[in-house]
Amino acid sequence: MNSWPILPEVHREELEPYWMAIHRGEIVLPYCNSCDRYQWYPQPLCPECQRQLDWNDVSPEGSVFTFTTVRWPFMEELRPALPLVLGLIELDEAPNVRLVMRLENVDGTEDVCDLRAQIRTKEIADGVSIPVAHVSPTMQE
Amino acid sequence: MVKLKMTTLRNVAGIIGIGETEYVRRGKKSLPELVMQAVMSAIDDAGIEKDEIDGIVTESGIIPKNVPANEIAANLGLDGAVTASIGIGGAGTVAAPMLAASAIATGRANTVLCYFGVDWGSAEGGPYQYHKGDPYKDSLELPFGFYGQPVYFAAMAQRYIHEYGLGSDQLGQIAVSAREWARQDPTAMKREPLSLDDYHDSPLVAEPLRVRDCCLITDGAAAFIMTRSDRAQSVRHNPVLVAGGSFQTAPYSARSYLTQNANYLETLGGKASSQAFSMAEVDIEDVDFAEIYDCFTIIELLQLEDIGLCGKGEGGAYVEEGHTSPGGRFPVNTHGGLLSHAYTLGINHITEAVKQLRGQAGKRQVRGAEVGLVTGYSANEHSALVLTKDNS
Repeated sequence: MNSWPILPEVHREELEPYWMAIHRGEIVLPYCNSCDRYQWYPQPLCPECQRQLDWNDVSPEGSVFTFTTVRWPFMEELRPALPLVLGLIELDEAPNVRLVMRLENVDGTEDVCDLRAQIRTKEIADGVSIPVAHVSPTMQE
Repeated sequence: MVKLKMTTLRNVAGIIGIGETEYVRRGKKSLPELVMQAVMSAIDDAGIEKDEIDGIVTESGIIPKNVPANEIAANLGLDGAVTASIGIGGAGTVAAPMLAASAIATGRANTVLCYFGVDWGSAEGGPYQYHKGDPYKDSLELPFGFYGQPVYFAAMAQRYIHEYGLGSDQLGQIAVSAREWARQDPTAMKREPLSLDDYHDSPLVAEPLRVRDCCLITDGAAAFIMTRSDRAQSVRHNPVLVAGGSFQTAPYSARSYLTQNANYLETLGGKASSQAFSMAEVDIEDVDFAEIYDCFTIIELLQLEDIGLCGKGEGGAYVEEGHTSPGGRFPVNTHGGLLSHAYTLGINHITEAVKQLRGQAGKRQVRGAEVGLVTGYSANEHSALVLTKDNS
């Protein structure tokens, strides 16, 4: 049973640095050196100062901004993966950035907003990795 | 140096004719056929000759791919019509009247046709495929299964629940209220009763949203004709004046807004309605009814707060009290909205507002309706429109 029927593709050269880093087990995001600010989704310029953005590492620590449990197959290929818990992860070092990914260590029945999460990378096919948010439960481990 | 004479668009133009097709889940007519049917119906309703149309204005993100304005000109045999388009989806359809009014105010056009239609009921991929094909979303959202508009708005609803609390009955009441209105509209797609129990029985799509939290899928089209307000009175029906409008945008790309918006639980409807009210010289207290863009129950709820009916976080209690339902003090979506009338991205909200202001809304007529608000949402864009009865 393949729960990853759609493999990530770069699609555009602007997205290549992000995915190359994920495949290495890291997270890099577009970053403005002048404003000390990350920007997502990739775009040429910083919206604050209009300088060109570079790419910079960012810590994988963050929190769940929001989530949802998907039960309807909007694409037939995703049916085997349902129900699917998806979330937007806000990063500690980039609070204006929200990364879309699946959540793990949750059962989808509880409100996990604002719980701590760590982004881990997971190999789902040969040389292909994806980020996944490992959510910390409410009780201290 | 040219001396500029600035002017307001308030009451420059009026709507003199409306037309619509029937609304079905899956029809046999092509989109161009549906649009032309609505256009001919609007021309007939306005009582004008087709050659009087010298402007064609529509939404810019969706309809031009299949039925651009030049197609209308070709079908109507129009020579020399100026064409223009604005916005995406609902924000575009609801912004079109102000763009048309701009052309009329400058004398660039005297009589403007506005139109919109969809065949997402019968087209492959339906409405979801509109969001496919953006390479950034295909790369950054699709592989995870973050796809299908209900998923985007379910995430929004979950955050709302987390920050403010929201009962499922409260969210469901928006769907129930829409259906109560639709039952009184012979043109609505969904007219069978919908109780809160029925709402809870509808399948979960992406939690907390159920099928009944999501708008319909439709094949259908509508059109309307606008002309100079000093001419509108001499035409067939009581004209409906375009009193004010606004088109607001945010510093985000359309592709990123739904996930990155810093004001995640607010729409631009507050700014849009405020600017529209200001142009129309009215306040929310003057508004007799509103047709609020309701692609999802949660988006209607956010707009009720943003336009100032209640505070942020209070929308659930507001609808639970019945204020937006038939008999309530602030009728909302008197045709059933996108949830129960038809999903034609807000052009049906404009035509319904016109029917109300003409006094032609039958059993769902809002007594004494003189001022109506229409909103159109499209993520990073938002439009508001104030229409009034012409009492001159």
